[in-house]
Amino acid sequence: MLHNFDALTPTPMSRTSAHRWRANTRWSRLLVCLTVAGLGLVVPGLNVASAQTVTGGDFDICDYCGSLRGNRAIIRGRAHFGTERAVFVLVNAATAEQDVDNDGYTVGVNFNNLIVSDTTNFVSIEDPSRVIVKTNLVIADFLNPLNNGFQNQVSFFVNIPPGTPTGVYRGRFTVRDAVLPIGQNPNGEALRVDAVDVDIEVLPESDIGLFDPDTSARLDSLTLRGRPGQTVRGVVRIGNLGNVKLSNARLEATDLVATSGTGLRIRRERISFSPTNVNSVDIGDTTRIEVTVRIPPGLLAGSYRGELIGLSDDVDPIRIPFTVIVTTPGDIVFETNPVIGRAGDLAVIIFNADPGSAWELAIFDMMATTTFRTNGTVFAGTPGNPPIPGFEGDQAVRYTWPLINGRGENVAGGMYYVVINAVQDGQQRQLRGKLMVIR
Amino acid sequence: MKVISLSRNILVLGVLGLALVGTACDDDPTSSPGGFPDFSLDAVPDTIGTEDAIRVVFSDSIAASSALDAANFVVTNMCSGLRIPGALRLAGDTLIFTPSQALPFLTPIGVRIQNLLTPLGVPQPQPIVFTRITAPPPIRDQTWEFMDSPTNDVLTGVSFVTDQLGYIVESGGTVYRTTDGRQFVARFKDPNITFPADIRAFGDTLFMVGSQRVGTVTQRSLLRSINGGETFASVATAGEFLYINSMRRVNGVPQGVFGGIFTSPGLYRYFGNTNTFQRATGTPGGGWTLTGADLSHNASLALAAFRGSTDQSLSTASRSLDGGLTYTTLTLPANVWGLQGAGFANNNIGFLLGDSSVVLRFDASAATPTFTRLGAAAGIPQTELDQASGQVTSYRFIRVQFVPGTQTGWITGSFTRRRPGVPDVEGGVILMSEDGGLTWRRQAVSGALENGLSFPPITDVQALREDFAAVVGRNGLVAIRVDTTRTGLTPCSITSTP
Repeated sequence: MLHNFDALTPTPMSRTSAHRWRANTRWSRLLVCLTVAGLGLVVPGLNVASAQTVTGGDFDICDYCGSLRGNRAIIRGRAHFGTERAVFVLVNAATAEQDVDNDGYTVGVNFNNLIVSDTTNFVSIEDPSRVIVKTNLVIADFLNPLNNGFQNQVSFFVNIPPGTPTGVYRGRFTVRDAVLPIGQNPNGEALRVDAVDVDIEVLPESDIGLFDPDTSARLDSLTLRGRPGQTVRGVVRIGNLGNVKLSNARLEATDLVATSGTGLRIRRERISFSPTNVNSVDIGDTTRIEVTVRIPPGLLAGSYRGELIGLSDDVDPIRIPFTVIVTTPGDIVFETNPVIGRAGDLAVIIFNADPGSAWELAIFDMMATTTFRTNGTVFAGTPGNPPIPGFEGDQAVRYTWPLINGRGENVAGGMYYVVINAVQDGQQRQLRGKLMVIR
Repeated sequence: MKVISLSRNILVLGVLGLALVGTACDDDPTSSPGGFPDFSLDAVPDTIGTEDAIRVVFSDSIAASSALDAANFVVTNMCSGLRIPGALRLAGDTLIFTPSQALPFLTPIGVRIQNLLTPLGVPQPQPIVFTRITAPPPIRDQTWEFMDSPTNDVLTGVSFVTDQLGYIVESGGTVYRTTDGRQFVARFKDPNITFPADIRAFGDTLFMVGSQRVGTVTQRSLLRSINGGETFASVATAGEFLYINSMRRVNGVPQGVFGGIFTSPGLYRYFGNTNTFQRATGTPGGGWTLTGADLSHNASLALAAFRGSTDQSLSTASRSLDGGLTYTTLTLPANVWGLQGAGFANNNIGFLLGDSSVVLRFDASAATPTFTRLGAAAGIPQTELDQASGQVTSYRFIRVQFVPGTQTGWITGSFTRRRPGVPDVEGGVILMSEDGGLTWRRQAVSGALENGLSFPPITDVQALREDFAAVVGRNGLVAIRVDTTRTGLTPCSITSTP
């Protein structure tokens, strides 16, 4: 809970004696005089202010007190958040020693109507067309009452709206009394008004997002379809979600691996992007990148899944699933052919078949004698909504033949015929292929 | 020649095809060379810990070359669709997958094990597929939701009249109203009013405390609006800076206690039937800061909590048996640090809240109250020390409010996480009780980081109904709890890493 009383807690006016000394303009100006004199220069008419009582009272915002350096507060923050809190110290001097600006003081005058007035917008130094509007200034503590001989520590911060570009924004706010009018001391210095210059450093934040090419929706996956040997394309937009330009934005992809567990894959070398990288993406802007996949000829039908990765300098990569669905069933694929039995290789036979369908496989030698025979059922999948990746049901079978016959004996070297009966797209098909075994 | 050769091939394959369809051959070469071992998922619980490995036990040996091939053990995060990386090892006949980083909480994962071989090369006939879900986060209740906030400033009070009609007030002096339960629109702003707090709404009648400039005089007032927050007028003035306003409707009439501090704390009793107020007596003198006060649900008792103004770990508390007019000091048990708040669960049961997880529950109507300090067993988070990092997390509770006539209430406050060499981290804490404050459970805000626990410190809470509560806090925090049918935790609802 905030306690109003906290704002009135007395605190040291300056943090160190050096600060205090600098804050006292009498001594600062004396230092200037001595320096000038030491340089042998004569400056006529140097107007040195001195402690003085004035009528109507005066208050000061103490330079070098709180967070101020001189009369400037330098605060930092991130877009969509407030800045860190800064503190300025209001002083209503009752003695010459307390008169930190050395422009005058009055005994017995209290200020009960101090207000923040004439706040300016905070304007970007780099681009004056960018501003943080003045309504984002938040004074978080009491200004009033500022009794004679006391000081108030007043914390403040600035809300930084979402999307504010990084940079330094400069502005100023003024404190005056709503009842006691602004006046002048005999030196022409303004009384009963003081100001704080504020420099806001909006910190850079880089962030990246992937977006649908046609809508503003975030892209949570990319799916392309094509036949073996075909080249398929899709478009992805890379968006700049930060407050600083994205540099070197690009896409990458991993190998796309068959979800049926056949081990077949579309290698990342067959996936290309145009443009390959984008030097710069403006704040809040997006850029389109075309994704091209050259599906290898002879690749079996099925889903090939990997990751699409959005990258840029100074951001964490963003990953989404990337799937290429290959249509049109193929013939038998041997992982290696010939198979070198003496090296311990096994024959891996891969073929398309409908999920849940039965298949038969037979291997004959050149004498048309059945060497090996087996059968099975294609993994039918596990129901799920949405379908679980890899659980949808396989569109292909990967069978490993350990180069043995039905009695468990190693088969001899030579050419073997592999014949498979399988269901593809609802049609019974017989697939045939030749496999060489080297012993 | 080529034609002949092709014809010959076709002829041979045709014969082989017929053989495949028709017959078995010499010495039964089609008999299986051996079976593939069975497997068991008994070692994989339905809910797996975020750091747990996945163990699949086989009835016989598996060829290491196939078992340790990462392509054959596919674990998928079903929320993102992305594969979960991990390491594989074989321990005897047990295949173990260890994720390379902690899994997210409450996330379904799909596991597919495929293409395994026995040492003799017998292939796995079908993939092993199963799904599991990771453990929920320590917080089992994520029923709070952020509301759109109109400000980043400190919000110092919240009060809803209905689900749709509610008010919040910020330290800068602006009162916001929502009429649709979502969108807050500035309703009242007076540059002469500073630090308003604890807004309380009863229909179109609103109360809050604050300081008001009237001419050249600063009035510290209990302010009232009778037009839904469009204008406010002082109904009670005090010499103290007012920042506590506890008001409730008793028999249809607003009744309350309010107070603050100047050179010493001051408490007042407000009577809604006559729109008058009276300064209470018997409260502590100088050196104490009022931190909380409340009126019992039938307005017969009142409690007030105080902390030391200089040594803020000191505490004292006062009780009124005449509805907040005269107070007497309570004798507190030992080790009650820095009291920060007081409240009632009903007509009698009171609470005192403070630093270092202090939550005292007692019968405030008893001649000599017996205090029960609620601890970890009652669900109150206790100070945590991480020996490895030196990190200390301590809890401070400041507000308690119960729904009148029910056993349901909330305690709110903040935690401070202190680690050597880095700035402190402060966040909010919400505890809920459904048994009159005997036990509590911590609640999270959906969408907040750190599994819903990272949100700004809370300054005020309102328990409107059992199915409607609201909190406000620093950085413009406004959150409500309206969904009581679920825990708020659903698969894929945890967006952050554990």
